[in-house]
Amino acid sequence: MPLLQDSSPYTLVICEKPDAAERIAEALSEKELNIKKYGNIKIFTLKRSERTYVVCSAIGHLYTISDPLQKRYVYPVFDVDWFPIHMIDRKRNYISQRVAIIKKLAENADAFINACDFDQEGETIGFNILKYACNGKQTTALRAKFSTLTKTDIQEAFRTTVQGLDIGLAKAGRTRHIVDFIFGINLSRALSESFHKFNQGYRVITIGRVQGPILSYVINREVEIRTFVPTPFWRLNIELDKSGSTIIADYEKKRILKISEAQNIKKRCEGKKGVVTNVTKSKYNQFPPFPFNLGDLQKGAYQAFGFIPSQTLMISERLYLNALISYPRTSSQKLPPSIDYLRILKGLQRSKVLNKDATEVLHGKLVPNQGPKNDSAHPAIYPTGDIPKRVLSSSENKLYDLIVRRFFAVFGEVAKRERISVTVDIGGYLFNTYGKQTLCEGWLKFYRKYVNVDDKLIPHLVENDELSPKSLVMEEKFTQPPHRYNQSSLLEKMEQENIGTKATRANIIQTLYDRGYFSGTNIFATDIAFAVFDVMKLYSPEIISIEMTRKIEENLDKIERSKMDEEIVIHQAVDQIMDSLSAIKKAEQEIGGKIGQAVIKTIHKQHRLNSCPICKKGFLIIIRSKKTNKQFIGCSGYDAGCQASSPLPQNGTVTSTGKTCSNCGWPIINIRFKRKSWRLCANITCTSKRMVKEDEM
Amino acid sequence: MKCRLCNRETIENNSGFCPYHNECIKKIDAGFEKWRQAYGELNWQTYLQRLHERHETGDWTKECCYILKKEKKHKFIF
Repeated sequence: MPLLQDSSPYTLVICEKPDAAERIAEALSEKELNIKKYGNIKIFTLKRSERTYVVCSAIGHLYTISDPLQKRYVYPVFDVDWFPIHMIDRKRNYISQRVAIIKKLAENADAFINACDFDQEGETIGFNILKYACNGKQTTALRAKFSTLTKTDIQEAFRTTVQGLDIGLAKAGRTRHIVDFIFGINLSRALSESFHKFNQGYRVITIGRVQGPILSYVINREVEIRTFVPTPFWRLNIELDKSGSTIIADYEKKRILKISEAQNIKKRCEGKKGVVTNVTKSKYNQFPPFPFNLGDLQKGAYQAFGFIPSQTLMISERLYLNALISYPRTSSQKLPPSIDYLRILKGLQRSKVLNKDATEVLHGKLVPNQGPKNDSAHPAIYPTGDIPKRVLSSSENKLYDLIVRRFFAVFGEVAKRERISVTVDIGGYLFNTYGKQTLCEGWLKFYRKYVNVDDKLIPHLVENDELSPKSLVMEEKFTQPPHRYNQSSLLEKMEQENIGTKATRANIIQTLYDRGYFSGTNIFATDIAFAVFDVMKLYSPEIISIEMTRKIEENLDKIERSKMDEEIVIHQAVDQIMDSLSAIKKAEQEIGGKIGQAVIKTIHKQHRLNSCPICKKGFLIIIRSKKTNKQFIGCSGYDAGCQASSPLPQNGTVTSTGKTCSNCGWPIINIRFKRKSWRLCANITCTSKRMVKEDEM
Repeated sequence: MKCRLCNRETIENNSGFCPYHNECIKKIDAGFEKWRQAYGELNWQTYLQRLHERHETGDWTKECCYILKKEKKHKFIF
């Protein structure tokens, strides 16, 4: 049965996502828009300049790289090909219908337009659909390029379609998939197989071209923290009085390395009056921020709202699909005039909340503070000027506000600030203090919510002013270990080192969490991470080194610019991996043993709670009964006679918070079920629970 | 040979420690000089005790402090 009633030839428009297809169809339609539904899949038919257009959509990638054998214990695998995803991943069986519909629609189409997002991934998605589902139309199809899903942008993109796909971009995208697959599948299978042969059960142990260097960053930081030896130093600060106002000044040396020296200075300064010897005022400019690219947005959202990078990417994509912001997967920090600043600001003026600020920006020069980074495919992230047509969720609203205010801020004037540095002589020793104030707010007035303006006012001081001492404190301090990475700072590191792509970085970090390599908001490397890292360091050091992955990124860039053949890059990858695989194969037993022990240790640590409040000797652990398969809390000293136990909810993941209940001394646990989590005392008979129940009654 | 504190292989200098714990031992030893200069008078045992008590001290360093304290040896490797 034909999918469409009208048998006249048409142009088939291929979009990346269903929401984008709907927006594109709405924007192109001149009269009525015909929507036909096949299950969850919508097909849009419309007339435009006497021509019929059929708009259909993928749902991200419909094709993926895989090995034809698909036997998880077999490696090496170099004979790879593209397959529809539903043939590889049974959980994504819903894709089969989508592929079948596109194939059917392609049969009667006489022209094709790739309207997927214009970047490496979008071009790869479009290329594969045109090649495999549309019978090799990737060479003849037209390309529509746009950065926002607003009506004007879409119409302009379809008015100026270009002949043929960006083959360089598609080749680079496809090569990235192949190279990543070759590295990932072979090394991961080698490790998983080593684990499987010498341990009970099966566990996926992965490592990949991008995962390797990330693991290396986190492990190196972990080693620095775990091997840290603090050294002592001292600080002196004095509280001084100036006509009733207090001034705190620090001794000029930030670190006094000997206690005797600190004591000596303290002794000589105590009780002595301070004399202001120098007051320096310096004015400086604080320039507006650069427009957001994806990395900056992820960093900003983490700082402002604590959103992890993958969450920010997901929310920003929703805002993009609602035509509220431009395409978020961009590296650019530039806003070209072609986006029409005036139109956007006038659009934003229609919002009650944004009206005042938008009007103020409109009265300015309308020259954005452009950043250094560029992206040939898309400008920086900016609001489209459209007003939300539906009520945004709390997180969408927060991110939208951040993007809009950043957009305002980049057009703002330079903020002018002043720093006052004061030097005070006390008994021949110099102490410093400073004040800071904003003289002209400039762009800060639009972005104050999201920027830390550290204004610090001090009393008016001039040279030779006398200050009476109030107290002099000598503080013993210790050097601190480096901070742990969090998802945002790790993403920033990846960006600095140019590993991974803007679209995949957040997901790769998430994969390392899912594999049990990382834990916690501030990232801890688990024993499994150490075991995998140690094995790789020994048998395949290049996979955890930044140099190899950076070289591949450079080569992919060359492919994108048609300056390198993709075959060379793939052959290089195969050569690199062969030696590693044979070394791993030879040491299978040792590797399996190491990883096995690490897995057991990690699981034990995850299941271990606080020390037992009953016997005070053992510690409480989360146990799953082999007999009933139910989870509960018991004491490790059960064999020694400790009967401490408490039931647990059977659904959800239980984790330790490291805290103890103030009422009964049992651990406070975190129970996560679907998207919700609860914190509660693990003791079923805890009095705190009874109190809550009584209160409720 | 296995490390005296964990299950990792030892490095080839007869220290009896894996690379990570060996790194700690080196840092503890270097730190002792700094601490002695900072406090003036400080013996090895007090240093190890205080280092062990500091929350900034790394976990592996604490493990090494514990074993060094027990053995009452100064500079027992290198």
